[in-house]
Amino acid sequence: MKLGQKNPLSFQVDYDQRLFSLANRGEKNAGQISRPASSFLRDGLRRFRKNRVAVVCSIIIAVLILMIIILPFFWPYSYDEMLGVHKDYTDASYSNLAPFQYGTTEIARMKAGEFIFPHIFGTDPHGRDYFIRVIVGTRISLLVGVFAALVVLVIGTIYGSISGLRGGKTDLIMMRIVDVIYSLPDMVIIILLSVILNEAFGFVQDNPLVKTLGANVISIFIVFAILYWVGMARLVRGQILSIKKQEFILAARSMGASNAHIIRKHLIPNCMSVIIVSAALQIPSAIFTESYLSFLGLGVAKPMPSLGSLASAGRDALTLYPWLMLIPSIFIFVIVLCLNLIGDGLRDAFDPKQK
Amino acid sequence: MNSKTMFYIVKRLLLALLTVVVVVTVTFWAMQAIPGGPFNTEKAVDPSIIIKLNALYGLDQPLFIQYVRYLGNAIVWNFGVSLKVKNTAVMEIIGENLPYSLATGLCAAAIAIILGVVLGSTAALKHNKTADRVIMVLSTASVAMPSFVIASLLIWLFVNTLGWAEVGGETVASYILPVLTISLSPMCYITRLTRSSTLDVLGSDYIRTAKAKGVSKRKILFKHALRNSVTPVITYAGPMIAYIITGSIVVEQLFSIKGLGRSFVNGISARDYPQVMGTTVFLTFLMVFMVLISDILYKIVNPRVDFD
Repeated sequence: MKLGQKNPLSFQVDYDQRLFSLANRGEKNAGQISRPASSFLRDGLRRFRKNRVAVVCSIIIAVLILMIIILPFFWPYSYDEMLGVHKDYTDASYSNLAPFQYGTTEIARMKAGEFIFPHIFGTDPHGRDYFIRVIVGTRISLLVGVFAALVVLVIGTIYGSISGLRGGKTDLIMMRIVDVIYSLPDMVIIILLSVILNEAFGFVQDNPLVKTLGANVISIFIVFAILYWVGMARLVRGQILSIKKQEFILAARSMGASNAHIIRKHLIPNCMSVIIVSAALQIPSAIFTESYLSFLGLGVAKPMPSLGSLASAGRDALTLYPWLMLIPSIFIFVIVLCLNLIGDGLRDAFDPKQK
Repeated sequence: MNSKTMFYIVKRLLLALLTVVVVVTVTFWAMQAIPGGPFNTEKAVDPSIIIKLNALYGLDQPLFIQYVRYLGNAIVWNFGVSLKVKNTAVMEIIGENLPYSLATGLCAAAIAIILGVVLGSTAALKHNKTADRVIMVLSTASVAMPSFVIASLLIWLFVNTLGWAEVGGETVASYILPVLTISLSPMCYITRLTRSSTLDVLGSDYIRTAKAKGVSKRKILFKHALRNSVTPVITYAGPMIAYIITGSIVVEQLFSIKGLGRSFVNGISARDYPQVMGTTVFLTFLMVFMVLISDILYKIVNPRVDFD
């Protein structure tokens, strides 16, 4: 049959050619999706931005992070500089200065017209500028928190997803190991391990990392790597198991989706919220753990400060110089509170059931 | 009790035993990693005395034999003799401190559970009203403070400024502040837990039916909602009690009250290996036992749950 010729048996209606005209540009584009498809991440961020409390907390944390990165570079005092200590004598007037007070020689220099940078938070018993010590302490505490959370995130997610995806005997054995670790008394094990690791690290004191952070902080990371990932592993496994059984996975499979596609597009986005939230909440928990260890004398190596060690050192003179304990305590309070609220906000924003 | 429940309990007991064995193993080998022995002192000691001491405590045996012997003794509840406190078995040191820890811990747990459930249910009933807001803000804020800061502030206020209490006493009154400090953070957690579970339950169909029937608000809460909304609290409470008893080291130190945690820290600084290991194993046992109890209680309160 020739092309364009109508089959005599066809039911096709004959249209008049004049009824048709060429589509213009606008009509051609009508079928196109004008905006890129909103991704899971972008949806979550949009919901997160609507949560005013969480946004304010994020801004506070962001400002703090900027401060701890930038300020130590050009602050006129350093965290371990004892202002009152000179080669041949010690000027006691620099110890325990109240906020915005000055030592005797500084007052004399100010009278001569010199500009002296104020001690915003005063000084500590050794005559060190307290503001920069608190800032450096915040840096150490946040570093400990973030690294500990990363350790937990990586180990917990990998372990949990292997256990959840493989299932069967692998899952059984892996979960019994988790059960055993889960029922350890963590505070006791942490103290025991940090004492032991501290002794063991005594041999590698020359290592620059061990030297600056101190063996105790390294042992905190190791303790988190040994103990705290189990919570995350349980969470990820539970999440993967419950998602694996759901109908939309079956639907995707029946439509011929590959395993890789299912993991990438269905399992990961659905686990994401749980992982993000529990990683975010891991940071304050690590900051707390570090501060308890500091309290027991197992924290960062001196003279390096952390918020916990500053607060517990300031405790000795609470009645005389209350700001020495109160300032780092307020920093801990604000940081932990903000991180907890951000974690809650993230949980609400990235819950896949909420649209 | 049916056979399924029995099987579950036996399985859990075996797992608990495995946990204790793992802890004994880890603790034993970790303690060996510490350089220096328990008899290394500042003073020069006659080497023959050290050899005799080592032989007395069995420390001259090969490590593996020491390990097997320790494991065997631990199973029959014998943690050896303290190396530092004369003529005292480790179990005696634990036994001396345990009553204090138990009393403090159980009081704190009771306060945390009762107040937590009451505050949580109140917040849920007054959802989005002032009472709810105040309870949530307070419970969120109080967990953001390390307990040693809270304890220091309490001591400063009640002991140093007001003079209402004393630190380091043996009287009941001197235990009030530590108990309060310990109970604060679990109380806040239970409050939040109860609030969210009560909100869940109050939104369910059977509560709506009860409301439609005209059941009073009070009766709905106590007869219908509470039984379902406290189940998460029960799962949390078991490990919490063990955690409170084992984890109150900081508070014991600050208020200088007797307790297991304090003797544990003292044992570490004195390098009293048998005591440290004994306390660790004992506390692990306590923890495992409490988790098991709470899981079984959970099943009794909530018969719909199947053992997996």
